[in-house]
Amino acid sequence: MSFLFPVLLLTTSLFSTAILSFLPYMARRTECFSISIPEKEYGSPKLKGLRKRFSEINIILGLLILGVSAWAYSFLGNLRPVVALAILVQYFIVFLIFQYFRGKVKKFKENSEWKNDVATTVTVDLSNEKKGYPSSAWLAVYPVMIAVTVLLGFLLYSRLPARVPIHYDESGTANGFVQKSYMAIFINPILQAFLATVFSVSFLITKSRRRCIDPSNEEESLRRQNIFRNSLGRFFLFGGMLLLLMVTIMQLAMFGVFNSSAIMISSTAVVIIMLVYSAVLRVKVGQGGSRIKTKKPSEGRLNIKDSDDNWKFGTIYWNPNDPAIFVERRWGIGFTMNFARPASYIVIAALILGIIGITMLIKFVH
Amino acid sequence: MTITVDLASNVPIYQQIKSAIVEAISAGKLREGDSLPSVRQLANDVGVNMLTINKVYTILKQEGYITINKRSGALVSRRPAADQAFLKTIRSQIRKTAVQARSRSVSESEFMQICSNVYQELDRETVK
Repeated sequence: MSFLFPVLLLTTSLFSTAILSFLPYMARRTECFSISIPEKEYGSPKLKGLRKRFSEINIILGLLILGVSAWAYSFLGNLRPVVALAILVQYFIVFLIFQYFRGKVKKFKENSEWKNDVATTVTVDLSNEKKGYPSSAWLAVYPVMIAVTVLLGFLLYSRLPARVPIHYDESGTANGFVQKSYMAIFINPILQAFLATVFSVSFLITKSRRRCIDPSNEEESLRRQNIFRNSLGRFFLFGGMLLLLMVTIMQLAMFGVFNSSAIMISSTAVVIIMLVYSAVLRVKVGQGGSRIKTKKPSEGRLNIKDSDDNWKFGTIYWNPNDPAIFVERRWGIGFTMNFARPASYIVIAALILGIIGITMLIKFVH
Repeated sequence: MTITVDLASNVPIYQQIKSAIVEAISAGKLREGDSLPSVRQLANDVGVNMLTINKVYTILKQEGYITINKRSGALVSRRPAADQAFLKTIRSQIRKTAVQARSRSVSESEFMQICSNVYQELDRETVK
């Protein structure tokens, strides 16, 4: 298995570099480095040049970091801290580079003629159908999977070893154990319940997400948004099932039905499938469906509701006048929260409590 | 089926949404049994408080344009009949408009012309 880890280092590093350099290309066409622009400016030579330069710098940076971390790995022989640190450093530097480019676009906007050409209208869709969105009935698969995992636990209880392995290192050797007890068979289902909650909530949020319609191009913009919404919904639904399935495999491995390499293989496969899937979404669909080809060009004017000042550092959304909690992020794909709404903190607190709760539980069973 | 709201207008947003929905019903773009977005969804889309949309739906319900159902949400009802009370309401509304027209010496025939033009315009916009 030892050859797998340098390969893992190489792929994670190349993958995150690819995603980071692609960031400006998957943004909405009404935004450039988190600064709102009219859609017709998207292809202007100035902004085109900035996007290209950002990508180039990112590729060089990514390769540099890969070189340094490969060197550090050959020294330390321990991969995990190297990969973690490398990714952390990379994201931090890219964040700084992003701020620089955002400043450039801001200046470009200040000197432009269009900066005051702001649309004061909002166009909304009144039809209530969520055409093509997966039915919420699919969410029932999660509790079924959890029930199956619990049931397997009871059925196989006699096969449970006295010391139950619950954690594995990179080479697939167990390094965390709990005592045999009926509690032990609930560790994995509880983890599944947490994952199921997170994915169900994401699925439901995506369903009722805000749709921003361009009045100059209603049909096309609605079409794009719906494709985006539906693909994201399918992604959450499928991703949740995949992760739950992985935990069920972990449950079976606990009883010795599979050996530890099954865990290694299945978790690596899950990670790869999710990464590839999300990459396809980024390239094919883009944020808000921005990468879907349209026949008709949009006017895409600046919007009165969507001020640059509401996006601190271009990434943190703070808008007391917006009742929405979940909004589409400007930089990257997916959602972020309106941190001017107290409800956002409740969501984050619930997430943190969930994670702490699971860790505590495992400690307790221990 | 879309509606457009002007956030910079002097007309309150709830009134804009309300009249846009009534207009869509009048034009046959929304028909009996069509469901409207949930309060949360519409508030999200327009970017206003849920109370604003609640107000819109409550007024529409009072005026008989929609019914609100716990399970299926807001549904467009059968077109309410123009009963005596309703005719009385529009009479007083037209009176206000006529007073303004008259104060600027708009003649009766001119006023009637405008009314019939508006009706024809709405007929043309109606989805058959």
